[in-house]
Amino acid sequence: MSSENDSEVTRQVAVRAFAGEFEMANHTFKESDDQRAPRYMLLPSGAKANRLLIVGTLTETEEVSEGNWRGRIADPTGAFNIYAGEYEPEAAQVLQNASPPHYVSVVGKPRTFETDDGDIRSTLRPESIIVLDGGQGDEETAIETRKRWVHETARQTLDRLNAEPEDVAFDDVEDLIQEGAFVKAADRHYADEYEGGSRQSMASIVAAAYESLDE
Amino acid sequence: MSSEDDNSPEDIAEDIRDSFADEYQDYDLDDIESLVERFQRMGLGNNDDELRRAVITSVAEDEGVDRGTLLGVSGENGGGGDGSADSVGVQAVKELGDEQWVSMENVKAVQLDEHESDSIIQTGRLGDEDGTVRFVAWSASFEEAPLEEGEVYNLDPVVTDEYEGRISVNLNKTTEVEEVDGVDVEVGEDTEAVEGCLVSINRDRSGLILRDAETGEYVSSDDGDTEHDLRLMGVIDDGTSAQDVVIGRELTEELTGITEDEATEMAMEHLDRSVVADAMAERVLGRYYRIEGVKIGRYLNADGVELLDEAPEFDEELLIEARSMGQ
Repeated sequence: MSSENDSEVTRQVAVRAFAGEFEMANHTFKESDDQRAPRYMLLPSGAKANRLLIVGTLTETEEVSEGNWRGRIADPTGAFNIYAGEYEPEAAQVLQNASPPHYVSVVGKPRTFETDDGDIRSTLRPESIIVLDGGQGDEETAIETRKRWVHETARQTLDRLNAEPEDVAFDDVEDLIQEGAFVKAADRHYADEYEGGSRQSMASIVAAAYESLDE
Repeated sequence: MSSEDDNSPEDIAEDIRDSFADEYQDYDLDDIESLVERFQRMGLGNNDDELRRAVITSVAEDEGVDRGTLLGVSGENGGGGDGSADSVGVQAVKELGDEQWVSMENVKAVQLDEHESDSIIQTGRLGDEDGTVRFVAWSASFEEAPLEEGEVYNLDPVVTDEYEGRISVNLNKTTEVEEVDGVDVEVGEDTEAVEGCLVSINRDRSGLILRDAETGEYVSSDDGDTEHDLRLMGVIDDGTSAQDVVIGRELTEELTGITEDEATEMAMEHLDRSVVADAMAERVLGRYYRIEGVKIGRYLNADGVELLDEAPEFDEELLIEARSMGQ
């Protein structure tokens, strides 16, 4: 098996986003027609993400069908649903063996799927799931790691929200994406989903998440 | 470069103040410390050079002087007067701003390159025990390349040039190039640091690995004469960039709690070396680390690794910012 490090010319960064933002995200795209071109999620805060890092609490696991496992990972703002099957054998095994709740650290690729009702939902296809509090004496580090992630995700989400809208004249979301104008593309695409604008909603999510660290 | 203990904001602040000229030594340490913390929060926490520069710039602005004056290495008059600029080392040069005239003594010319363009006759790096800084010699000032690889020089003066936040030094018409005989300079390595989550381990090349017994080079199968080694190859990701890192045997043992003997035993028990990489990955993946080391190609070769097992302090300003944007 070839290693993932060698197969990626420039490794895609793992974006930090809260579940509250990810739950709203419902649009993925590629930047070229090449079949191997990376797939990105358009985040409501105005950025693209090919990969995500989340640190949260694994609250549920379920075998949805033979060998296919679902995990639910909560953060202060909501929950991520992750699915691992035959192509993610290690992750599937972790979900199978875990007895929630556990602190976990997950790296994965954002995807969307359509529900029976026709809704588009976001989900994460895990590259790795690590149980942080699996060993003796690990709990303190796990707690601090989760806090560090909330801190960092709050900061980086605000940084995305602070970015200036790009100076391009397109109206169409796909055109904006192809121009790399992700701030405008997200504003346009998610405008209908939020009262009072997506940026404001995102900032409220960040505030709520960060408040949870104040003890 | 430094042990993990040198990294508290207070230590960094003290270190920065030590580099000030005598007349600025009474600058309030708490003020410097809060600048350090502020720039750390703003994302410079894992970038020592930039952090120092940013703090020094702020203090210089506060004092109404340029950075050279604050550091006591040069004035605006560009080393005039007695015709000789103050001598500074590589580390101090990197902390100066644009267009500072200084001299450098006992610096070794390394990684030389000739004429990369018509206007440039030679580029390379000048090194001392603290590391290296890039230099540029202009064709308009020199008929032939002024420096020789591996020789030690006194250069008086050189002029700093800042481009995209990086400092290099220019050798120009006024630069006296004096070769120093009988002195060798041990050039320090340019260390860098990254801080972030270990998001990936290259399983094939981590854990209990094989090296050619003669050359020490990594080999993927034990066809020939090989010996065991321990190592981790992975990726540290801070959310905005991803850095490949290589962690050698001692630090790998320390980090994973698995010694080479234990690793060998595990591999023999399972008749499979890959169990070691898997066990190690489980213990280190998904946690946050600060890794210091020397960059070789795209890899940062670790010479210090610290598990970041305490969350950053609560940042009231971040909350205020989020709340005000959310209204």
